[in-house]
Amino acid sequence: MESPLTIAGDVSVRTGNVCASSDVIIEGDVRSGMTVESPGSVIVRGTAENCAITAAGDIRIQEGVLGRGEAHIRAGANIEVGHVQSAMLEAEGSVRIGSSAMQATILSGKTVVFEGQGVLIGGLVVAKDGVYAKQAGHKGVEVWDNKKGRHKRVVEKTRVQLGLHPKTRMAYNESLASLRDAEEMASLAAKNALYLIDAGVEGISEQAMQEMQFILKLPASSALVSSLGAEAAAKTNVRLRSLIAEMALALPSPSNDSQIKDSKLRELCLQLYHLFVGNGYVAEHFAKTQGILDSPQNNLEAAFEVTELIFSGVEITLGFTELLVENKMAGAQFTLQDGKIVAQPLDDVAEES
Amino acid sequence: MKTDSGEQRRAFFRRDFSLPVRLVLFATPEMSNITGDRDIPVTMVNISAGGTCVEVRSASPAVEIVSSGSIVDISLALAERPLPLRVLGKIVRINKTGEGALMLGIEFILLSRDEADRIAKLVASHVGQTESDGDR
Repeated sequence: MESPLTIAGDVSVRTGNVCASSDVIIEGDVRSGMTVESPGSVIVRGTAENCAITAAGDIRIQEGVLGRGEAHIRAGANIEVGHVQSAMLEAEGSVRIGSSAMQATILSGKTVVFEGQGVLIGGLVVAKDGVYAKQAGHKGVEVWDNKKGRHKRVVEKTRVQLGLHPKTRMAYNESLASLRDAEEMASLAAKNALYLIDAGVEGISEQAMQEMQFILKLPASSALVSSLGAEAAAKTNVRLRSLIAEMALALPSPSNDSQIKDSKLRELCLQLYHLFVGNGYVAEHFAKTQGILDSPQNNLEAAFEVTELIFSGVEITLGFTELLVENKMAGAQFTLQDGKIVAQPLDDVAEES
Repeated sequence: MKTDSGEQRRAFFRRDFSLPVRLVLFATPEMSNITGDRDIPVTMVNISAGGTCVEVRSASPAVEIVSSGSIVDISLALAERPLPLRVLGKIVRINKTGEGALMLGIEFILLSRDEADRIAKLVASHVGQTESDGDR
């Protein structure tokens, strides 16, 4: 590989953005709005402000990152920073923080290790294999509550999510959100369709009406897939499609809905179609989320270890199980045991090992 | 496939632009229950609050049986929500172009108020070539 590109001072508007074909060494800071890209590694001797640094290899920022919510540091390998505040660190490998992380988003394909003060306050940490810190969360701040006429303590959530690669976690969260949307859509449509049928709709055969009522009374959403199985649920939806098709073929153009019976028929057809669409998405996203849940790539032995103090408001997700720390507690190791998150005092962990 | 050259009928403001769209044949006047590959590969030509015009350039089993009056399931990928917008439409016009492609004129027949609003907003917000409407 070529010898490293060395920038003697800061990367700023004076130097312009850096897009190197080698490793990069920056003796000063990377200033606001600047970008640095390297196919190898990047070393910043000073600080990184709200900038973007991307490297296929490691990134080391000796002083720290003060991102103002906009910095994005992305490494194909590992990231090492002195401290980080209001920035996103994204590493395929591990992340090492020299002292503290405040309101940062830290994504790691391996582990996140806090050294020195070892303080994690606010923000989100997603790591596949583990997070190791001295202190997690914060005691919060006192603010005046106008409604109650007294001070109240506001604690910013610190979220730690372990066991899945950050990209897998993101895909799971997206699929779960889509599943919930689809379930809501299907359930509302079934309820509306039943209401319309009860109110009376003309122009549908008795047999078709009975079939519709049977389908509409089946358990809604993913419960349908769980109880009938994916194949049977799909067959039910095929039958629903036929019923909708027969009605849709007979519908006049929307602008020709001169009679109330046409409008009612169209509304029922619309609700059945929404149920059909909702059921289809439920099946798709149910399968996706199950695939991620059962993936052998997940590391359900990942651990969150805090050696000194954990404040209330720390939200821990191990695999797919969540735990909110409700009271301040001494250092502990959090692991998943028999489907539950268990906090084990570190003395016990030391004795076991 | 059967084509007709029915006159253009527009009740809505229409904008010429392309949006990622998926078209699945739902039923034809002859067959209410179609099995097998029902995808019709299309590119959107224009859209209005009342319907859309799409171009078919490649063959598929569904293209062979599609006809005027067929019902199609339309998926529009809009950015604001994770799930695509799904609308049921009826093919009201099929024209052959000089280049051998098919143009399908589709009227939306099942659309909730919320879905109609989303499409109307999309049409209104998109900057592009426009054609004013004619009365139906």
